Amino acid sequence: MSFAKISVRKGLSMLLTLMLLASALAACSSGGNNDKSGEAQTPSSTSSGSSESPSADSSPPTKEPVTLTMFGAGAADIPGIQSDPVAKEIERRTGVTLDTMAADENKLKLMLADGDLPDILMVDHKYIKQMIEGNQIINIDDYLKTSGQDIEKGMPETLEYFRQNMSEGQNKLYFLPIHTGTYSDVGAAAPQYEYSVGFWTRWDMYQELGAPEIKSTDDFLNLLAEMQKLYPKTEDGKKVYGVSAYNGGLWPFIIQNAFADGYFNGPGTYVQDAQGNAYELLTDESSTFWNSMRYFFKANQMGLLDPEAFTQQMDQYSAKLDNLQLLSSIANWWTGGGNKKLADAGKPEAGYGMIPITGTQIYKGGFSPTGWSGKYLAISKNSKHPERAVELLNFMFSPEGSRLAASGVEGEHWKMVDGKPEMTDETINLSKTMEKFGDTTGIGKYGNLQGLDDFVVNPADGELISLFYTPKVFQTKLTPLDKAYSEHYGATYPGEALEKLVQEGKISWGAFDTTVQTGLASAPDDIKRIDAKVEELVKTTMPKIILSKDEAEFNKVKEEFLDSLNKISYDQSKQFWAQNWKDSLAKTAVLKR
Amino acid sequence: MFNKPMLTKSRLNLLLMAVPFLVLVFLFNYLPLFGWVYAFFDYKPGIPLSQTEFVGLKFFTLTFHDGGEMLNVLKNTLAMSFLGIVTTPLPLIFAILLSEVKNGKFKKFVQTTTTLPNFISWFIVFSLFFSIFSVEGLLNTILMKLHIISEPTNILGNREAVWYVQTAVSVWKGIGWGAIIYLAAIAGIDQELYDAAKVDGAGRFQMIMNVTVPGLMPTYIVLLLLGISNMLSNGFDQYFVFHNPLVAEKIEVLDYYVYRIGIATNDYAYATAIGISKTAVSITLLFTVNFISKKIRGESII
Amino acid sequence: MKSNVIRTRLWDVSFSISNYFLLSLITFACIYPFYYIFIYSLSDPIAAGGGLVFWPKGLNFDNYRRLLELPNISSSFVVSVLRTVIGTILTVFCCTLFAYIVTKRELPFRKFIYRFVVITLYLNAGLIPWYLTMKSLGLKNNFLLYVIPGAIVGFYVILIKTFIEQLPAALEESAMIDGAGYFTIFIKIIFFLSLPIIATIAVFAAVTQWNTWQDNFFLVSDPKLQTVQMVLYNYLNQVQSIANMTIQELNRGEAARQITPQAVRMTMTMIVTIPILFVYPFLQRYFVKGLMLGAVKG
Repeated sequence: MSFAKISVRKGLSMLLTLMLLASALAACSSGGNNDKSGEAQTPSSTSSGSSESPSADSSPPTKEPVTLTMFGAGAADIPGIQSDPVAKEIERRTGVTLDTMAADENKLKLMLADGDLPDILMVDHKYIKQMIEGNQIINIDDYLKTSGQDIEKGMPETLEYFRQNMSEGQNKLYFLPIHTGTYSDVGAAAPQYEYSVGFWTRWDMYQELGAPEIKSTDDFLNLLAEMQKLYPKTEDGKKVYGVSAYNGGLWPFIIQNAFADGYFNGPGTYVQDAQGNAYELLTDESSTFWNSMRYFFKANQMGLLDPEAFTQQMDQYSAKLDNLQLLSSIANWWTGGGNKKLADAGKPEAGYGMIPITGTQIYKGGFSPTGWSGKYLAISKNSKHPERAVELLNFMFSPEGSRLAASGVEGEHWKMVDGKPEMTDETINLSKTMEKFGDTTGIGKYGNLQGLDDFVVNPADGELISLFYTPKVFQTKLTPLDKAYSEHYGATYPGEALEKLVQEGKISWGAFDTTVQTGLASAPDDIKRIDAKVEELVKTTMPKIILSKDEAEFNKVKEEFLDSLNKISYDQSKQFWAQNWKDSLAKTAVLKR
Repeated sequence: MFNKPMLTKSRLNLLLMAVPFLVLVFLFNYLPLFGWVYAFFDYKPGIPLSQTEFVGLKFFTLTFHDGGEMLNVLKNTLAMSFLGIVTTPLPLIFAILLSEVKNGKFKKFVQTTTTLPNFISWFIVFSLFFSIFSVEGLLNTILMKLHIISEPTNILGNREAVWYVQTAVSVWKGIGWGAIIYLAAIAGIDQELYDAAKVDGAGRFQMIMNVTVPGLMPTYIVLLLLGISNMLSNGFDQYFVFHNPLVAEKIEVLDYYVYRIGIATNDYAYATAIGISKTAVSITLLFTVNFISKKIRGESII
Repeated sequence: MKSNVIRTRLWDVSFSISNYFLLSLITFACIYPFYYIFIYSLSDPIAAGGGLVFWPKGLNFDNYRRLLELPNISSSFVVSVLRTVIGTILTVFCCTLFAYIVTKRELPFRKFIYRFVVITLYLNAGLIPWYLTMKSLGLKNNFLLYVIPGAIVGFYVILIKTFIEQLPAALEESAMIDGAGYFTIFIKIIFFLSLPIIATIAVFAAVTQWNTWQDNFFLVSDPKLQTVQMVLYNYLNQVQSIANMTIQELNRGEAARQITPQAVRMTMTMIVTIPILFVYPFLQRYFVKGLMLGAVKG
């Protein structure tokens, strides 16, 4: 019993010590926030992190330091006060210190429910109605004349459009767009180092097979079949497949064909063409959806399809590419590992290259004077410094501020050389080698505050906002593989190769005007429910279609599928969305030029 | 048996000792239930309740209108819960087997290592599962080499096997951890009972059946009761990581369904309504099974 | 007689052997996956994606370096340890005492009180009400958030109560006759007799405390109060978002993939589980019979 007695005493004294320690910690933390917990009990709470500026009067001289909290600033490693060079420059120019928080949707819901929003928010389309009706955000017009002249100057039609269409009929400026200003012709003309989504395949094997011209996706599948004959197993004995995908909804299964056919994804079961006209995917049997289904069906018939395409996660898909088990890839985001493996094995010119299928489109990007659809900035009613928030946005929306966000600090990351701005060699080098490049330098980190898009021309110096799209930078990215690829088409970098083919008329650019998507109204709840059912039906039917034993079964499953769509009132959804797109096109016509 | 007369001082003392704990329970479990009111309104976070439309039982009856989907979801949920209940004796048996081991080092080692799966997050469980059971994975490679099968199996995509596979995975993940409770219960069994049984000439097996198992029964029954009442919950993470289009129809349990609908429709109120329904069903089950137990075994569990 | 004894012994031995065999099989099934995670964490992330069996591929410690070099990682360790130790002690004490009180038949409203607690296992108000309640109780950005709400867990109370009710009543009765009060009996007798279940609850509570990050995520933004789990989870999120970035963002200049979310997860598992495995044996000897170093009944 004595043994036990001692442990009790010891235990209790330990407990006491720990409790003292903990209460010290508690005092430490709640001491700093005592006023916060007190405030929390009052119904109208204050913004959660902004500290008071020394002289909090109503018309402060603009350079008083102030801290503003922001939700959804971009990819920040550690939420909190940011101290990278770009953030410091922002501080220098506007006096604003940024305190960022991770963009978690649950957190957003909590803040909305609590009425405790940060100063600046970046939100998606679906929250617009709630935020306006709940009276959570300010009317930016109130501050536009005094603190936001540059915003008004830079995009008057866009702002007017936002007043009319993004304010629940109140004709107020509640939201601001980001990455605005690029019309699709400008976007189409801007050079890029390489393009992402397409029909990527083993470039070395393509050369081995004589690099024949590929004129259709059928040709591509035949090419893959030839490759598979040459290379049925990897070094470690794993089976090699021509085509694969991953468990990520519809996207991995239709995106290659969609872009090739000239469509860009829209919400739900619709895609758009370059001008913004909508096309329904499911009931139109010539749609790019059915093209995609047939592509995968044929691949399966030819023994090219990875049976795990439906069950594996993106991690496993990526790992298979790393291990050279796949002969084609949906995009080049996952081919780096495989390329590296080949380079390490002494074959630096082997790896994945994009086959430009004759007669198809290559996706260049989505562009809109209204910026990135689905991402809008708002300022909370709780903000203690709304005018400073507008000032900050005013700066970030100017060519200078946008250039800062996209390319870094002048003098440190880029310099004026013979009157033209250029990225410095060190920065270009760092971008290739440093692991947390964006986070450490701040370049690209505040993308969600950038008012002008990367591809907008800065009137002050005639160069693009982002200085990464120059031949100089491109040359530094060339790998032996990329060089081999480019030279095959008589170019100096991969993007240029495709440029040439466009000029020769073999392929065309897919530069999409996505303005129409900003004008789409959100669906009423009952349509949303139908859409959820449709999405699920598509997801579960897709494998059945693709894995059909033969053409007959393929058609049978298709008929059953169309039948089921009818049963869940899909035509109600179709009616709604068709009208929605039409209305949106009419509304957004004012923004075309 | 024990008369409960007036509130004596000692009884009052006892009650007062309990009060602080009851307050804690109330504050953190019952107080947040004010949020249930959201289920009766067309609630969207950000818009105060006073400005929101009252919709009464709309979200509760919604599930019946949805018909097809909810029925299938419930089928999956109940099927897997049932299988889960069937496997509840396993940790118990495992605990008994473990306690029969004489070698202390081996015992410690086995006990510690069998709890390891509990610490592996479901995301990793999926990739482990994938590397072992995938078409090119360990299992298929071995089976093919031994010529036991000629075509590799695709377990992850096998719709018919889903319920059993998921149950097996759950057992693997939980057996070691779940056995801890039973091990503790075994440690609490009075040694004299074993000594008495030995004197009566009982062999190992008889001691297990006549002393250990009865000693574990109260714990087992309680856990069984709690498990039955929890039928509508299967957990979310497991079903999220193993979900794919091939098995979707059979793997979608209620918790996953709520998540999917929530994403699509941003329906916080609907999710809350389902939560309330789940609670109501659980509590009903709890008292029903308790009642049955009272009739059969003569004593109430709660 | 003799044949009986031999038969029993034969049975005993074959039972023991098959028991060892079966348990070894189960142990292997549990340990190999963990070993896999271990070698994965020591491998080059890209190479590991190709599949591992017994050895790491491209052995290096970069994964660990990346995680252990995260800012605030050491202070977050301290916070996690504090929350685990204090939280566990508090939870164990409260749940055990409360369970003991509920075992007393003379407790007024006993049935109601017990059911009041049991029902909490099936109550779930939802994220928003939980958050608002915690905030209004002043627990936002407060260390107490980590230890107070978890002090009474219905499930633990049920387990402890069931255990205590199986203890021989004699000891307690004799102490009561001697005039000892409830609390004294609890501390001097019940607590020690219940060591197996208390150790069990301690393990459960400690692991829960060590692994919880949701309260941190939604309610605590103070950098001094971040837990290890939170710091690691934030990092995982960032790696994941880089892995998902579009080419336009990549053009702006992120380095080619050097680390995968999978590798981060594997390493996180190791970092988080290893400390538990060190502490575990100290509690284990209390709930596994035959491992206790000294008899409790004195």
